[in-house]
Amino acid sequence: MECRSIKELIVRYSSGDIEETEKVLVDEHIRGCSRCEQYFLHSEKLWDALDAWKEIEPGREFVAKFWNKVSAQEDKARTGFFGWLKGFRPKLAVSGALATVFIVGMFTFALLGPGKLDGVFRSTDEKDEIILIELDRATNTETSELLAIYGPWDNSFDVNGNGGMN
Amino acid sequence: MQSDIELMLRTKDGDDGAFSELMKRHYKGVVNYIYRFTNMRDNSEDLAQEVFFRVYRSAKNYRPEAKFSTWLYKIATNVSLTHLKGRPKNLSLDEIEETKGDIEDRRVQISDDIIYRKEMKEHIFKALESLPEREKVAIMLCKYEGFSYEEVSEVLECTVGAVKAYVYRGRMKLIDILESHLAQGGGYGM
Repeated sequence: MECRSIKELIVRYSSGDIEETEKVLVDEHIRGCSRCEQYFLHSEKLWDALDAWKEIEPGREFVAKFWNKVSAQEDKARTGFFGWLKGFRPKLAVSGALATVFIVGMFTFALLGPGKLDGVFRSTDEKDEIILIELDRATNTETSELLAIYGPWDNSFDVNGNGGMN
Repeated sequence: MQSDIELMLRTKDGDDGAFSELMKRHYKGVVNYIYRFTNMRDNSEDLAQEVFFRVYRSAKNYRPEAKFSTWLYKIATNVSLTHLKGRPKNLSLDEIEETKGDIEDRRVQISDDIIYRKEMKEHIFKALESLPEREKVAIMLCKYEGFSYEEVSEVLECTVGAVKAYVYRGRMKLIDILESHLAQGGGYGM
């Protein structure tokens, strides 16, 4: 049997999980193979070597600490959101009122601040009025000029449609 | 003496005393399992608290389908793995441990054996750390917690044959990794 195959059998041998026939195979092999014999010794040592990592002794208050933690968690869950709300409601109201006053103040200042009324209402109205007067005047002038080609207007119509332009 | 399952069923019915009894039975094992899994002594108790907290919280939904300890160690494994994955890579684990480690007590004369044990512990941790997750868990549960292959198969949710394969492969790798230390021998069963 090859050394490579025998290694797994060696590990199983050390684990106590090996058939009698396999055990004989391993014994025979390691008698004639120094490397596998060495591997067998290492395999036997390994499990005990892992004991070099000793256990630690946890604190005796472990259980008490656990229940303290549970109580703290339960308190937190019980008071959670409502507790926060209760504690912060007055502060929240004051903050809200201040924020509202601030926002309203900012709007008022922006709309009615110094010079805003003149700029927004009076001067615009005045300009609009001038524009409208000029437009009206221009329209009248243009209309008069267009109608002039028809000559003076005769207003002497009767109810039957007689009369009119000369 | 009541079984773990009976105590867990009492916990499910609101008996906190039963859960205290369960913790007293298992906390040392869980703390040490996490300690060996993470190599962080300072955190192992906190993480063990987290494990029991999860168990306690899920007591309402507990069904005695599997052995309590396999369920407990499955949670402990998950908590340890989550902790290791979130750990900064460059953190020196051994130095954190050193401040409170077993050689901290300067009243005791530091002997060669203690130094050897400490060094060996570091080599073992590194060797175990280098194994694939399932091989590491299988070996740790078998070696340190005395679990049978069947119990490990419940924790890892795989067949008994797969657990044996994990253990054998893991042992073979550990022999290769720790070869020089195994050749040196020592006073701890070596």
